Amino acid sequence: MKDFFKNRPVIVLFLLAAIILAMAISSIVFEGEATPISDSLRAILTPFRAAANGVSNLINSVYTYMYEVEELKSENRELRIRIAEMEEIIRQSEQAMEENERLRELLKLSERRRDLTFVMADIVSRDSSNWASTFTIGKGSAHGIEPFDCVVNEEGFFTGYVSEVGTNWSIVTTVIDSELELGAFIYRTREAAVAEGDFALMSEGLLKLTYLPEDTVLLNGDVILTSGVGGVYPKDLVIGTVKQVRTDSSGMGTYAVIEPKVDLDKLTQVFIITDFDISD
Amino acid sequence: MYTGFGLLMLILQEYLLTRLKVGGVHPMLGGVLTAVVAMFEGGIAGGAYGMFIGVLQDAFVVGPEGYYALVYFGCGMAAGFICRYMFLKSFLTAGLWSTLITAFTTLVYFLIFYLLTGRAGISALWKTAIPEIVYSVVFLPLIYFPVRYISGNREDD
Repeated sequence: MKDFFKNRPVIVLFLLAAIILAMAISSIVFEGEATPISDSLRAILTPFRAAANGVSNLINSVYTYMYEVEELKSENRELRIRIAEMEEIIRQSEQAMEENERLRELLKLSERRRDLTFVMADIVSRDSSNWASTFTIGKGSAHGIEPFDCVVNEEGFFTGYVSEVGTNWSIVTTVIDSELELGAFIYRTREAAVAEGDFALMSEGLLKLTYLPEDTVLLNGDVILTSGVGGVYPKDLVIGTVKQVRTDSSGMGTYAVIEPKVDLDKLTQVFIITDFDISD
Repeated sequence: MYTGFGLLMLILQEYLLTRLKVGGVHPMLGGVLTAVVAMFEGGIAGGAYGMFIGVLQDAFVVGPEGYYALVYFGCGMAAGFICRYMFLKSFLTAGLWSTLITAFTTLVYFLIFYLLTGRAGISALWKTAIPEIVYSVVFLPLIYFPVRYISGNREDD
């Protein structure tokens, strides 16, 4: 047994394990900042992962085109009907909703939200864990991105936040991840609540709205937006719509199930909000 | 050869297998790779290879830094030494240790980072953890036969 620990390869292996353990502890202490090993490895791998992701996306798109043409035609017909219905909603809704729907069709994100400063980034890979909902983008601290920066899609829908930053890469925790928790409000009633991820709902692509006021009456389709409370995230970013109201496990309270507006499966590009005006 | 094969398997896992989900989960091949190499090459090589695969998996997968590197290092070393003295080199042994290492890695991860922190309930055990273990071990033949070829070993009679 003593001879085993005098073996040079074994000594080297245990030294490496001790270094990795130290890195692991520092990553917990300095949350959001990448360790040197992780930063170096991911910085080297990011361009290759982007290329591999591009090839994978190309193959997937060819497969989808060849074997799902009929499904696409049907979806196209449904989308035309939905567009007609949405145009009808635009004509009939309040001035603010009309402007939002029209601008979403016509204007670029940066012209619609002049109080926000954006950095555009491509998604280089999706997280290969069954326990989290995250993806990696090809920009990092070298581009002005910092931990906890808010992330939206091209339509301005809340997509997630930056949870870890490297030199030329960042990890985004999505809106349905169980780590997510942020201030929100119901557009129709202006009541405040908390939007948070839930592990059980994550597999269904949903999140929940908790800390609802006692006398709140929610309707299916109610729009939920970020409240901007605390100044961590910008205000008035659309998170999703109410799908269902449920009673919690204690039977004492209720929570709403939210369907996010952003389609995470179809995302290829996101916008990171690196600066914004804090409104009261 | 082992290095290239391990990298190839992890790239396959990240860019193909994540799109082939069964029951909402996809396989995690790191534990299977570590177990099979450890069985053929012994404790020290198993620990070193487990550490290498774990470092790569930590880079690909979001989660606690160094978790997979440390766990696969320990499991690879243990599997390699135990197999050398107590098990025959065979597909069955590889299957047993693949299941043990994958199950240990997944269950400890679930227990420490999700169940005890309240991020998930016990239902995640049979909805996510167990399917992940089973689906991962299904890919044992894809890893076992190439590793056996690379190692130049034949199974013990």
